[in-house]
Amino acid sequence: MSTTADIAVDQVEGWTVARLNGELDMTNCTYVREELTRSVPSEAQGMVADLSGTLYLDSAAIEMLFEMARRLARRRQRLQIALPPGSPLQRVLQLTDVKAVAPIHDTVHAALAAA
Amino acid sequence: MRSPRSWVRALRREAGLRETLERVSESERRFRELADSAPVLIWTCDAAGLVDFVNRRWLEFTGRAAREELGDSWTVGVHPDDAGAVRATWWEAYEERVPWEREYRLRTHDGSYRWIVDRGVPRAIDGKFAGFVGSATDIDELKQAEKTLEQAYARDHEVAVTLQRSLLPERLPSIVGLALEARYLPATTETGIGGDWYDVIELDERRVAVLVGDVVGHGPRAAAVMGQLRNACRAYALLGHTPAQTFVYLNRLLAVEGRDVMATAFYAVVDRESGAIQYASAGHLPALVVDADGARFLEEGRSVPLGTTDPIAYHDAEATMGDGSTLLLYTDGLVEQRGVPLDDSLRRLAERATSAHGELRDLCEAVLGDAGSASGTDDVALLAVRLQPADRTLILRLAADPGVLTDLRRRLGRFLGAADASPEERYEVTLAICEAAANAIEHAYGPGDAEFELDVRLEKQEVRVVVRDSGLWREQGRKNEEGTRGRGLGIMRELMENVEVSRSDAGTTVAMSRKLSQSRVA
Repeated sequence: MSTTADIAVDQVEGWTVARLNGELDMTNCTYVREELTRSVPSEAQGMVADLSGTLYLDSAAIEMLFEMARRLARRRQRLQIALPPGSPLQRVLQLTDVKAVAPIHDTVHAALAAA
Repeated sequence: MRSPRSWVRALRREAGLRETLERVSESERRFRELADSAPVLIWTCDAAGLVDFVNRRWLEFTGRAAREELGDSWTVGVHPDDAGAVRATWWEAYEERVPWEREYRLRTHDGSYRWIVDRGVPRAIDGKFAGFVGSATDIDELKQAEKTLEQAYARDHEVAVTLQRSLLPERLPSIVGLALEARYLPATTETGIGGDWYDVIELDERRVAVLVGDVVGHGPRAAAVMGQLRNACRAYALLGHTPAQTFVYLNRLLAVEGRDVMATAFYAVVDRESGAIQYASAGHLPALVVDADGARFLEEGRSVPLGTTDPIAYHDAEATMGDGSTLLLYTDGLVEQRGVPLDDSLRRLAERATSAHGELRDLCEAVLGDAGSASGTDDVALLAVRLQPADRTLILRLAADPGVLTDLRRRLGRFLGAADASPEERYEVTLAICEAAANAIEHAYGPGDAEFELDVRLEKQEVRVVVRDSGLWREQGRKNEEGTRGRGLGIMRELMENVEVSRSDAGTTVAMSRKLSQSRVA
């Protein structure tokens, strides 16, 4: 059995919206990071990582989010995160201070509106 | 001034002495003539321990002149590695005036060394100690043969041990509701390697087959037969046969193959929900069920060893074990001790197991006790199976491979779900445990077969976790921990209480706990 995450990418209003459904951990986050990096065209404003369908996220995956933010910043692009308020992942994202590099919004819509 | 009479006495004494000396030298001369014609190396030394004669064969052997061998100069020819011991033996025997014998290497005329066995016995002349007379025999060919034989034995032993190891389960399966420990101690004597084996087979959702067996005989052949029986047994077990039926088939297998071997085995199927045990014994020592209150042997269902005769019927017997109790299967190396009646050994095993009925690993060490070190003439296999209430305890031994994390999360999810944890608690506790596991995996050192252990218990709505890896933490790993994995440790500290990380040469242990919110189901 291996960890699986489905990545669904959409280009919306100049942003790349990536839905990360499933589980993200040390075994698949390198692959996910490469997929995500490839999916952001250079003309996009940045990426919204939609974690509403993410069931599990470990420290390696959080490291991956930091790395995504760094890579996008080098290309003058931004990372935003969409995470519903009731998600079990909330506390861990707060603890690791992800919002310092990527603002967290309740929905993809809110993220796009804020941008 | 002497009186004339005393002069006479003195002269008479002197004449007697001269006569004695002549007699001695005459017998000495005859002795030396005889010695020179002998085919062995012969020497004598005087009362001062100095060599005063070596025979012709000795001189031919060493290729030196007689004067070069006299006094203690003969020791120049002794191999430097043996010289110290030879001198010690020599002078010890001289002091004690006792016979001695020693094997050592002596240089030959062509400069090579050959093994000889040298024996000396004290001699007396007229009741007075007069030195030693000795003879030595060339045993070089015997020595070489011995060495070759030793090497062959050592190789045989090594092959058998390797074979044996490779045929035993690499690691015990992780089975919810069961704690398992196994030990295999190979015999320490050269030919003692036997065909002991153990196995654990998860049959279905509820039932687990556990087995210990012993092929009669030693060496690679016994190990090979053991491997065959083990595989066959797995196949029959997975087909759903009972222990007795499985034995009937194994017995037939041995008969059909015409193999002239016998094996004893104890086979039990444990229902981990009800604690029911179905078992049979093929001439094997009875398994033991132990709990804190005492121990009892499973003595029903007995029949003859496999390979004795065919056809033969085996019989299943039934027993039960309660939550937290332990089933101990073992081979005779654990209890059979020379000079100790078997009943006494079994009684002692039961006592030991009962008094050590705490942690499973401690129990194993306690019952192994002196069997491990003392006897050593037969190998020992031990398999301990404990019934753990599935919803309260999760004990896993996992390969240090990131691939195990996915399955681990599923198990933890079910475990915490059964404990009625909220979705947040489920995620956060799972995350903390998996971060500790990831640490163990990243830091495990070894050629890919490293393992780590996970012990999760639920006590009064408090989850207690211990993650233990036995690998040595690499320096690089330590540095790494300050970086990426430092985040993992930080997460553990935030999400759990009482997080303790202890490192030692034996490995690293992470202990932590967390109180779950009060159960929402009354």
